Amino acid sequence: MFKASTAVRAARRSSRLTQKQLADGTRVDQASVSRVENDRDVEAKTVDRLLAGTGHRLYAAPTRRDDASATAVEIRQQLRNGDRDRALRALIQLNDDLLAEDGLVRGVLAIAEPETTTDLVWDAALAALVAWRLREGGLPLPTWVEAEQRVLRERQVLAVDDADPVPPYSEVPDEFARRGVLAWRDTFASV
Amino acid sequence: MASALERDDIIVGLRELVRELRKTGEVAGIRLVGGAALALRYFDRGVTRDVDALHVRPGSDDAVAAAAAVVAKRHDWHALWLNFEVTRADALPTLGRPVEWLPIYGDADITIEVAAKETLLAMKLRANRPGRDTRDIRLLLGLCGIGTVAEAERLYEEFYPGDALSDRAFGMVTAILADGPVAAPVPPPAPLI
Repeated sequence: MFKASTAVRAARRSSRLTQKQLADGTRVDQASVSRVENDRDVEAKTVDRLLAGTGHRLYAAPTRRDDASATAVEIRQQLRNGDRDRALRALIQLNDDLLAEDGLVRGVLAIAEPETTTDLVWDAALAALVAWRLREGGLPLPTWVEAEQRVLRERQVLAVDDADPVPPYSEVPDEFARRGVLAWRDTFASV
Repeated sequence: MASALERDDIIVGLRELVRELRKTGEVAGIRLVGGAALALRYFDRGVTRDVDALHVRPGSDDAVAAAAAVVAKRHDWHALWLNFEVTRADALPTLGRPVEWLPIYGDADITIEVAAKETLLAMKLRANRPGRDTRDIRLLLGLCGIGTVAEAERLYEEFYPGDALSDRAFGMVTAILADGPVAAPVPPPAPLI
């Protein structure tokens, strides 16, 4: 389900604005910004005004699938709960959703820059997955996917379970390898 | 659209699926495997939006898919939340030990069953996708009372005769059992469908 809170928060953070800066720029009080971002006020007019303040606007797309921004929020919540298994399932769901859509609609699921999951490896994995599936579909990549902060300085495993083996490089999808994230290709394959 | 379903969502979905099938007087034998089966019957687990079902016997896939589409529309789920892809993938063991099925719902016309834990373990050992299947294998080893790699190999070969655990699956089971047998997870309450 579309959540205005996710859209506004992700748009604000990708525009590198604090809540106060956004409030000042849109003449909306800071408490209202906070209410929107915490899902306590979703009045369309306020949401539109806040998005305008970040240089974004809403469009309708012919899909009901969640986008990368919603996935990032889900991953962050699951990591906060210490549930890496469910965090991975959120990433796999995005993978399945990207594969289920073709052409521009697939790209739409990745247009808005997701906010951080608070974990650099998962941030890089999210970008890698999107890059992998968009390239596969012959689609251009949004800027955030290629951002430096989504490339790890040293290779790291996308750690989910302690018993997971480390993949050999040959089993890591190229876009994951480029970003230093060691994850198995077939983790994203349906049986 | 939710990014993933939880156990309660699946239970609600199946309950409404039964109601839709009853409305049209359908007969349906529905068998579930995969993550949904695990979450419904065996342990707490997140699932993606896919509920893996075998071909409906008796009854028709089309009738069940049509009923599932009605449920999907009501909940803003994808129409294929319940699908038969797993049958096409030929993942179910068919050559060795017979697969047992445990009922989670049944009336005169409609039954819903999930595969027994041993079958699900064999299927997970076959898939052995790191991250995706590891926790499932760990908990199923506990549920099946399997405490050694040799026992896991035996069970696998019972279901897939002539086939052996892959090196990767062997390594995962070895790592899981490195500190001894896994305690069986507490199963959730029976799903009220």
